[in-house]
Amino acid sequence: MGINNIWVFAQVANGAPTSGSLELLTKARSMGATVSVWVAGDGAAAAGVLGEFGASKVFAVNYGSNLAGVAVASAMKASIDGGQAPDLVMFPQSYEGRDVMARLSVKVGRTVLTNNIEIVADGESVTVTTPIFGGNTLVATTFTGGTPYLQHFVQNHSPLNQRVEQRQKSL
Amino acid sequence: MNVIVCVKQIPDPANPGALDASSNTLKREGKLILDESDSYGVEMALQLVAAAGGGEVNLVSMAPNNETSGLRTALAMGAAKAVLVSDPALLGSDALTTAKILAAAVTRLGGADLIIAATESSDGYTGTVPEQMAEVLGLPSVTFAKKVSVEGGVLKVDRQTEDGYDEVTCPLPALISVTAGVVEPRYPSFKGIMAAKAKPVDEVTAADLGVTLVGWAGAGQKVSSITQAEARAAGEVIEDDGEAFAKIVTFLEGLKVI
Repeated sequence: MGINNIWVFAQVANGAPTSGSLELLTKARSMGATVSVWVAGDGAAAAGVLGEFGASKVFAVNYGSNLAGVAVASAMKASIDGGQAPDLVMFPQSYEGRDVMARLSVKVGRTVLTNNIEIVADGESVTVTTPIFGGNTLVATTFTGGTPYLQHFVQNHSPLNQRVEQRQKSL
Repeated sequence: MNVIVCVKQIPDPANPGALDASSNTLKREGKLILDESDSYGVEMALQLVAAAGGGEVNLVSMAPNNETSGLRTALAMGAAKAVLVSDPALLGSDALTTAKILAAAVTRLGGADLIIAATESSDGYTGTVPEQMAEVLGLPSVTFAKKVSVEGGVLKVDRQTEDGYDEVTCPLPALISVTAGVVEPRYPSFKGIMAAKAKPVDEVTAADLGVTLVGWAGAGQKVSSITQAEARAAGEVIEDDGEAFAKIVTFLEGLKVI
């Protein structure tokens, strides 16, 4: 048991994943799980880089001329209903990411913890850290409902970001 | 055109926030004020109704202790009536439960052509409630709206993106979240303040709305610990003795910046 299967929603701009998305992917991979990435739109151009950062599979959702939130969340829900439920879904700080995680939260009936700067998995227990009061106070919150757990990372949290930058330089 | 605005009443941000040690939730004692983020939504709603030539702006809110101070401010701006959900059982509710509660309050008001919320509240800043409400209500939504109009029964929105903004059209009924600055909120007039005292506020509980498993019981999360963040370490001061540049270069090389 434990966190074995993680989905990451990656924000892609001009065919390339954003640094925040790669930051998230790096973190997901460090948790020792199989990591799949979801992309709104054409994921082909970004798939190579996402793979180099640890994605074992990339799901690309065509949302036509609509906004991405409903389309991606619906595709995720269909995949979950089809037996491919993840243990954890991670979202970067992005406008699309907010829409997708909120829609998915209702579709799967799970809470979503946002504005996190750290995540720790201990067996099946997942705890995230969120700064409040201007960053003076840190609140550690543990998911108590069933999986999938939904969480959202604040971008440019330096320890993660440094690892991403180092990885980018090595590619 | 009828518009419903989601209004949060929060502790005055001018005072330092504090957590209740027994519940690990934000202290919300005494008078609460209208979240400034929501004043933009109220103003946007009033302007849209005026432009449509008729209709009503109504409010939904969730707050402890039957608090109405912030609601009265929004009513003084020009809203007609409100539904206030106030229930001790709601303590510890997560964003998903909040969205269900507010969606049920919207339904209690009979729905609307448009529902407006802020992108996030100033105290909780989860930023998911508007889109969650749209999903619960089965409505299309446009979040992060920086410009809003209704033309020919169609909603037109400039939606903020990382690169600028998208021009989005959307059928009604719909839900939008508006950014700060979408319009300039009006100050309530003295006449409006006096009139607001008599405007109806329908006070209900979660059970009245048919929403069960609320508060901590339905939250799907628990607070494990609360700690003070480490104080930022003092920076290193380099006195320029004519060789300071070398020390700065060494420092930047250590950071792999150069």
